[in-house]
Amino acid sequence: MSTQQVPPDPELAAIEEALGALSPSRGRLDRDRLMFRAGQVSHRPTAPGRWGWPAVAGVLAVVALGQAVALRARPASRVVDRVVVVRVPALPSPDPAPVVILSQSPPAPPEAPTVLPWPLDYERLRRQIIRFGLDGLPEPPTFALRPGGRSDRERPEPSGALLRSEIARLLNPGEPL
Amino acid sequence: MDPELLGRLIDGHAAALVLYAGQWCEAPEDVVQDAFLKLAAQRRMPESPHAWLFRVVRNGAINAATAARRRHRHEAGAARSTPWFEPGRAGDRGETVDPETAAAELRALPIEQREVIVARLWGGLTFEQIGELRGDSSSTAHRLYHAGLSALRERLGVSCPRSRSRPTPS
Repeated sequence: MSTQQVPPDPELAAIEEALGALSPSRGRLDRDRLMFRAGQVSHRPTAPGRWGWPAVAGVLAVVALGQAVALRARPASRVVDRVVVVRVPALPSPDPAPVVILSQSPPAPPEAPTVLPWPLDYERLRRQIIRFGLDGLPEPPTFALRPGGRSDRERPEPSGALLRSEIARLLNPGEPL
Repeated sequence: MDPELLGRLIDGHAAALVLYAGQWCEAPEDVVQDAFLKLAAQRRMPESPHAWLFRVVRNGAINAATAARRRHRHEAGAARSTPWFEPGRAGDRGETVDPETAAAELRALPIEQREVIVARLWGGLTFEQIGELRGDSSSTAHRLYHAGLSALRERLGVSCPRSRSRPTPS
């Protein structure tokens, strides 16, 4: 076991030989138990691998905590009522089937106002006017004419406008007759 | 780790490592066992497992001794429960040294000399490796080795072969 750099000392060779002959004691060291323990240790994950899952769990915990904080700090949603008018365009009606005129009856004459006899009670006159307007008024009565062409009352021959004015006064009770 | 390699290391160096760790602590077997378990847990085998074990054992033994002093269980000069050497081993040339006497004389040496002698004689380390182990140079390790062996030679009465073979003048 001597090195080439340091030459062996001949004076110390005897003591080296004498001491080298002694066998160190292994003491309480159990070889078989040590081999068993070494086999267990060699299959155990090393430090970097041992911390793999705890590191993943730590990262997920941080992410969850950050999401919780962000959720708490988020402003409350604001409800805004807004009326939206939706105009639905009129759908074009499908083309109707062509109408074939088989026969055409003469057009009905316009509805002529009913000629009511004179005189009329108030309600009937009112309904007549409402329905047909002034055109629905009955024919005014004819006054008897005296010789001279004038009536006893000396009233001029009533015209439609005059009769209408009198009728208007009748319908408006607030005005004097 | 290869179980066969581990077995060879245990068979070849466990005793020397126990003797080496015994320079500092009172429970060297635990320190040596921890060193072998650390070696088995290594992903990559060290270049020199032999020297690696001695380094780990040295650090572990010093830490154990420090912890023992802190627990006030240090017993200076107390006899160890287990002997340092196997009893009854005779030398090849008939020059025998009593194991108990050798152990007692080794304990009397300074720790620096004793450490180098144990690592060199029974550990099989080179002076370069011993220098790296201690943080010194190889020449320092050789100087400590020489001084310790000289002291042991005088205390154990092991004479030089040259002086024995030289005939005495009449």
